Amino acid sequence: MSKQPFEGIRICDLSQNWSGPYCTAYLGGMGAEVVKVESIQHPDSFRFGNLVSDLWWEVYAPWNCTNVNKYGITLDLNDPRGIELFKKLVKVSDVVIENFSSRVMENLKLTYPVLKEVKPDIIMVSMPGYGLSGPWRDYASFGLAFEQSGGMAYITGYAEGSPQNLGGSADPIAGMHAAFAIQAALEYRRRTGKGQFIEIAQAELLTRLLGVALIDYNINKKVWGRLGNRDPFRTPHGVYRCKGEDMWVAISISSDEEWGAFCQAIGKPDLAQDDRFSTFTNRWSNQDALDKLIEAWTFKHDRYEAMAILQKAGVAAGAVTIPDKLQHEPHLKDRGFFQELTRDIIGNQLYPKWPIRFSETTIKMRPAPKLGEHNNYVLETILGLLKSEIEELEKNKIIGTTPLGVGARGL
Amino acid sequence: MPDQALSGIKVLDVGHHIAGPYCTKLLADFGAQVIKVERPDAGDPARRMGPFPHDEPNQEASGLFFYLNNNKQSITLNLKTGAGAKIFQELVKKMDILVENFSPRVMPGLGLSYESLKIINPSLVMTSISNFGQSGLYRDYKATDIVLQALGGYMWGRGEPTREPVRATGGLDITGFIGGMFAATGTMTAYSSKIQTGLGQHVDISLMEAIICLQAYPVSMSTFPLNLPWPQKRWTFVPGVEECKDGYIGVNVLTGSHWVSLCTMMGIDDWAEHPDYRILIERLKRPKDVRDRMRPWLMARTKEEILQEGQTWRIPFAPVYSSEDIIRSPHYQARDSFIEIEHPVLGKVAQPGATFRMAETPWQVKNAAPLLGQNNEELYGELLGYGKGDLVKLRQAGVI
Repeated sequence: MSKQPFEGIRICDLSQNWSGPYCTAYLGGMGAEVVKVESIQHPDSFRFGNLVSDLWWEVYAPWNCTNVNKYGITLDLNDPRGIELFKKLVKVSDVVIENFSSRVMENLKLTYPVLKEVKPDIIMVSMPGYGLSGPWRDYASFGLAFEQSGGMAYITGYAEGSPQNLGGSADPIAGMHAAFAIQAALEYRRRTGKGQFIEIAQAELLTRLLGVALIDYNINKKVWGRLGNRDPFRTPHGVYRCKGEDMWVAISISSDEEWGAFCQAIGKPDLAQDDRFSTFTNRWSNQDALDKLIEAWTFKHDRYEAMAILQKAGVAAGAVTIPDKLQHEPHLKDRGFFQELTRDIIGNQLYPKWPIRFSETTIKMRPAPKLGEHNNYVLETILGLLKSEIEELEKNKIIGTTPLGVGARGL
Repeated sequence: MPDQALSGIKVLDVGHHIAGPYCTKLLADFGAQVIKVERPDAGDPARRMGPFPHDEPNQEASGLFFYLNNNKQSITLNLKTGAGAKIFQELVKKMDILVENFSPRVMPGLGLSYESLKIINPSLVMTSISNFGQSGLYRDYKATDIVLQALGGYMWGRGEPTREPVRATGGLDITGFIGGMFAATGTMTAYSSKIQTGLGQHVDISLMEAIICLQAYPVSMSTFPLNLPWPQKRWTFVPGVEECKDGYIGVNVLTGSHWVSLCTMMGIDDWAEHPDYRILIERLKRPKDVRDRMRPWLMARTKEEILQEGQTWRIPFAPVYSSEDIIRSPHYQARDSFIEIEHPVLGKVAQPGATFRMAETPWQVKNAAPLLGQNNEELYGELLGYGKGDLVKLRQAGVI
């Protein structure tokens, strides 16, 4: 298939940091023309991760990874000329996406009713942290805050310990749901010609994933607490120390059969007959003893060795991998999950692909744009401005390619 | 019924447990017709998992099934019989999309691989969600949520450095939801492609790779030039999640100005510019000192009080909410975040409402999660012209 699914779709992307940009990186990879709109006054806050070099705004790894597949322009939206040009761009776009806090688009007078006047079938996606309505509407927020107020942190952590953060997962979760939402809206527009406004409230989205726990409260008044590495349906179940410094393997046993296979695999077949562990209920009540027994075995093995032995016997087990070494993981190398892209300034680097593969559709990957890199392409080729007009914009700092200074984070 | 975003799209769903069902939940909740194909005896294994009312197992009263299967229809079919597989192929002819989350050998083993179904229906989009993907060294490995978190690098950074790393979200089995989310997105992309070209394709979703994608690029952080590695083993923040008067609060200090504001707010101004506390790397070296200093202020205030006060300083505090806190939260209540759904066995139970809010084509619940085989007569009649007599024979033969 030579044509990608979203060729001909233009997305006007005001989003910053990770949640919105992650969405548009996917759609850009599927053929959409994503025009990322920043400004030299306020470049994308994600560029500010690493202030150590001359071109500091181009080198941060997460910035580069999440902004693949986009064109980059700058427009000062605090200037009327910037707003005028933004609207000109919206007029020839299909989707506008932003993830600012709730007041920003209102203050810029770029809300959905305004943009709908510019382009009646525009699809606009807003991703405010707590939503555009409700008492927390204007609260300062970001990824970790959503994990906490969205109920995910409370159920994470050791059984006797305090809640733990997930580690910043709210953004890609919101971003991927946004990619789904945009595709659903495009499908509706294809059939009816109508655009619409979509609100994705990031913290609220996480409470959807928590649905089962919420239902347990509604049905049984049960409040889910923290289980550590234990599990209500599987036993034994946990993370066990292996040979080496801070090396672990996760083991999860879901049935009596799997338990029997485990006992065989570790060379203790008579354990399967041991009354203490013969049924789910017995294994559950004797988990402490069970865990000690298991760790006595795992402690003698390298984590990959333990995993291989157990998997061979049909037992679910997995080495605890170190996340910044995953490019060496044999399975991922086999899958070609990491790929190299070459970009100015940072050279040839590793990027993760998507966990989605298609038998026909190709996913294209282009490195992230430099700040304002495509000002000329967008302003001249798409919007028809003259070279003299563009020079004027540069002179007045409405567009540009170098940030005006550090500390100009966000909008 | 007003047109929804995905009205008219026909989905055959042999998904089970979480990953397949969450993918098709997104499709169904926004208007697609989703037909669940379940095993005749016990159906989707999620029916056997609670929560149940009073913890009494009842395959028509599973809270997990109730949550994931609104808007879907249920037919029973035994795919392990020759007759069952044939009926399945007949159904596939009439569908746009097929979603499954078996391990990769299963569908081919039933004679229902993508290659064979493609011949029957060249425009079929088949989405296969599996632990490790349809290829690769670990393709046939067994896994549950904790194994996927472990292999996906999602555990190692969480917990205390002197003991085992700890799983995210406990018994929620979050990797299934994350995989389902990517599957819904990929399915829509393949569907868009099919609309344009008339041809379907196979969509391959890997849960291990999905959970890797929930992390802010640790591999790239360590391999890109000029990027600084995280200074310690586990990715903790100090301050981080801290105890307060009525529970826990996220003390989220992201920037230098947050730290200065926090010090003023807590009356510990001497630490605002102090080299031992000014930046995170330094605070990580002396977590006990930091906690001891902040504790009196925190323990004198509730989550709500801290949240309010924090707003005037624009520090992104967040209350660490339990499920009960969420349900009682004035913010979520004001937004109608939860809706009551009437189920024939569970009765009226509130569950989360819209995943996200589409103004023209809102999220809706048209029917509660179906009973096992609830739509056998209706759908076998409508799609394959089977009468009551046919269904009786099929049931006797163990096919449905």
